Amino acid sequence: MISDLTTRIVMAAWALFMLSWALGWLLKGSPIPIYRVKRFGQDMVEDAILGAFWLAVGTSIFALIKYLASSV
Amino acid sequence: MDQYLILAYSLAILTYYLGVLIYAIPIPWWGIKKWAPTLIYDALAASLLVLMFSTIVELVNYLGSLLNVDWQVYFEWLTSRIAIMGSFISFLITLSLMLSSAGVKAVSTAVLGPIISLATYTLIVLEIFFILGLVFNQFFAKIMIIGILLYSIPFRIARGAGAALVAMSIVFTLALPLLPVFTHAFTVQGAEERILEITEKMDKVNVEEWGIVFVKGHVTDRKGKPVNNILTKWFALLKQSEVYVASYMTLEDGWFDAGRPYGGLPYNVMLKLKAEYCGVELTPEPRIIDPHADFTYNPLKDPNADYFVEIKIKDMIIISKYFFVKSNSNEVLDALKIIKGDDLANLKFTISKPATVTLVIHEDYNVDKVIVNSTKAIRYSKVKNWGGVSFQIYEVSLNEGTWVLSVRVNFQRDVKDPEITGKGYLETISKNIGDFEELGKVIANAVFEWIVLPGTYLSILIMSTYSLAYVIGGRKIRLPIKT
Repeated sequence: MISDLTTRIVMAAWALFMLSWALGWLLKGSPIPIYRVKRFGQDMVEDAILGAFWLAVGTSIFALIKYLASSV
Repeated sequence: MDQYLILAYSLAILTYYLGVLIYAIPIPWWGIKKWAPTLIYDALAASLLVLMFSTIVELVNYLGSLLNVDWQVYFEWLTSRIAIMGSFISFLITLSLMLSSAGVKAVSTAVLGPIISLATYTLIVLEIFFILGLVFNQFFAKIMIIGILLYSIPFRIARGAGAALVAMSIVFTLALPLLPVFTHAFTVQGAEERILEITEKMDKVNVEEWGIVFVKGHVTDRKGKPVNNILTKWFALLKQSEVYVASYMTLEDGWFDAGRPYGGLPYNVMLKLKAEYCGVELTPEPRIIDPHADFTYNPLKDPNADYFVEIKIKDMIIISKYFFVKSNSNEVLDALKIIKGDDLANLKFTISKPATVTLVIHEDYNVDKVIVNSTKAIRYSKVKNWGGVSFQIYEVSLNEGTWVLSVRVNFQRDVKDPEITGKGYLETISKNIGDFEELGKVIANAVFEWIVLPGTYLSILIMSTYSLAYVIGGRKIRLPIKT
């Protein structure tokens, strides 16, 4: 049950990353002359990138652990 | 237990991805976003703990062997003390019951009550340490796994409890068995030795099993005349042996006092009575006494005694204080006529069979011979020393016929009493009872050694556990987060 939940959360995380990425660029690239909105868009993109980075790192590490554990 | 570890690991992975999910969430709400780095860090820490579980267990065992940790020693130390304390409490309760029945209930309540309470508390503390030891000896790994599982639950729900359990299992498994070493370092004379000394004294007189009864007894000679200052020695008859329990001296009126508070005689065991007068062993009747049958119950006669007994010394007749005739022949004693003047005593009797007559006379009467039928003078054959006084013993062997034994003796003289005292049934124990200060010191020693020191040690362990738990579970790492 937990691993099922984890898979769903991973998928949701990737989807949210893409959403945040898109939303972030949307805000950053929008023709609104308000600096704070543009800045928020950039922050969102940065968070999305960091999230994707940790997602990738985590997936790799856990996969490596799983591989090591099964091969030992 | 592996499935719990797998569960903990799965929870750690879940926590990690939850963290990442929150990282990527496009909501600019700090309350939610701040969880992202925390959850990632927690997940990594939890998975590290899961993966290092075996290493930690091995490390604890290795450190234990370096520190000479031996659970066997710990449990033996505790069980021996629990046994000692248990017997000490039963000793104290017996003592208290005895004191109550001896009429000094106030003393038993005021002094022994608190001591019994303290001893009971000590026993409880020792039992608690025993159970603690059992828990950490048996369930060290399980406690740690449960700790890790709690630690892995997302959003730090049970992280503190998990870290505390992990820390506790490590600290207690390593340090709890060293409790005997810790207490030993702070004690000069072990409380167990002092308690054993006291209980051993008690074991010799088994009041609990034998019971106790307060008696006054009247000792008379063959003719029913009271015998003063005769020592009655009482023994408990067991299956294979007889054990000395008490001795009582009679007073001027021939009564001995085995009453309250320090007297007493056993009630639930057959008794053997020996009588000694002027250093000579005499034959009392009854010699074997069943307290249930031979003691007469009369609670109204004397406030200090409930039972009374009549004892007759059947092989002696008193002539004066510390001056008596003893014979193995009943005929002599039955036929004996005593004519007492101021400075002369004539003993007249007729016998049909040869017999031996023994006269025992106090040295202060200044007797030097016994004249038989006004013709033959007999000197004393032996001198017995009894309580610092010498008694001359004249043994006269006679054939059948009528005999007159004359003794020139000054009855007006004051004779010195021998320094013999009885020792009451409760007096042997009352030597310990009377020394309440000693009992107090012993219990204070036990409380210090078995409550204060282990309590201190336990608080040190708890503080160490707290510190280690803080190291394991108290930190927060800040990863960069923008929104």
